[in-house]
Amino acid sequence: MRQLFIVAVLLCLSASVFGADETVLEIDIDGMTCPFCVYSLEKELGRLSEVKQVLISLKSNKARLTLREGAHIDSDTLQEVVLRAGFTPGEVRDVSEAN
Amino acid sequence: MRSHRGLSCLVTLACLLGHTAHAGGLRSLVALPLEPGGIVTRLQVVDSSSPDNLLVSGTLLYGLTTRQTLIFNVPYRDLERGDDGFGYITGLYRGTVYQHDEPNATRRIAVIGGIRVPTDSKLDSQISAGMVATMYKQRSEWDIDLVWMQGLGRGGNNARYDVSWQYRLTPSEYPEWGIPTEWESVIELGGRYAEGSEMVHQLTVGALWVHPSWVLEAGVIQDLNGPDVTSFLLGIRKHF
Repeated sequence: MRQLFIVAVLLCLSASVFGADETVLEIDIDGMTCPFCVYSLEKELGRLSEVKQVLISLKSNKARLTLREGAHIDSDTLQEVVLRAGFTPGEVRDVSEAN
Repeated sequence: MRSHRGLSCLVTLACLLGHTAHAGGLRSLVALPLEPGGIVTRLQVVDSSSPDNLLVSGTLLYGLTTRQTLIFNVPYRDLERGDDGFGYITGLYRGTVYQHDEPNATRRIAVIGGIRVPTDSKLDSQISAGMVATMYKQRSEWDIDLVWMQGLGRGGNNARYDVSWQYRLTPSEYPEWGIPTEWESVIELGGRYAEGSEMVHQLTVGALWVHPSWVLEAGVIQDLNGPDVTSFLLGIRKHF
């Protein structure tokens, strides 16, 4: 039982360590309309090899990208992808610590 | 005489359909973006109260660049009930010339140009030119289009206009994260003109069930003048 507890604690610690390497970015996006139109944006952002997960917020007009471990994307690249999808990109923020 | 009437019906029916496959109105065009390489397809069925007027229409949109889209439309008439089969195959180019984006809002204007090629020897090709404007803010979207179709050879000219208002019924407020499914109501006023006859104004009322990658649509189209035809529309759009 004690051994199980130790293994669980170690797993939790390792998960938090890996989590710390995960970069989470948010980008403001103007011009987002209905779900059908925003789908292309989600698709385009998800195509980036560095991106593990994309979340879109129509409520707050932004996208949140969780990057793969150790990956990095510069703001210009992200903004270009948003422009390519037909929308207007805004500021890019690193919100890793907040998550 | 019957053949001529059949042709008129076919032209009118072909004009009934919208050539857009974005989210947007049931019959109106729209100026919203399609990503480069993106494909959207739409299948629409319109059944009219007048005789032999079942029409199936397939539309394909292809995103050339962020601001340029190609639109292809093939209407197909039910052979069991009709007589001619295809009507006009339409190829349109849409180019966005103005775009102003804000949080949860956009205003866009696009020009449209293309050709309509008949599959029936009794019809002639037409060149299309027009414009479409889309304004979206919060829960409302307005689409306004105006298209002139210039007949080549023996064929007459056609024109169309649409004013479409869509309102998001649910959700009243978007979730913090994720793309939701939504219900939209649609009300449209449209006009279809064929040279030699007066413009027929039509009211369309319907609803859209919008998913991130597909849309189901249904509506009723009522002539406000002229033939007094009532039509029922069902359709599906898929974003690949």
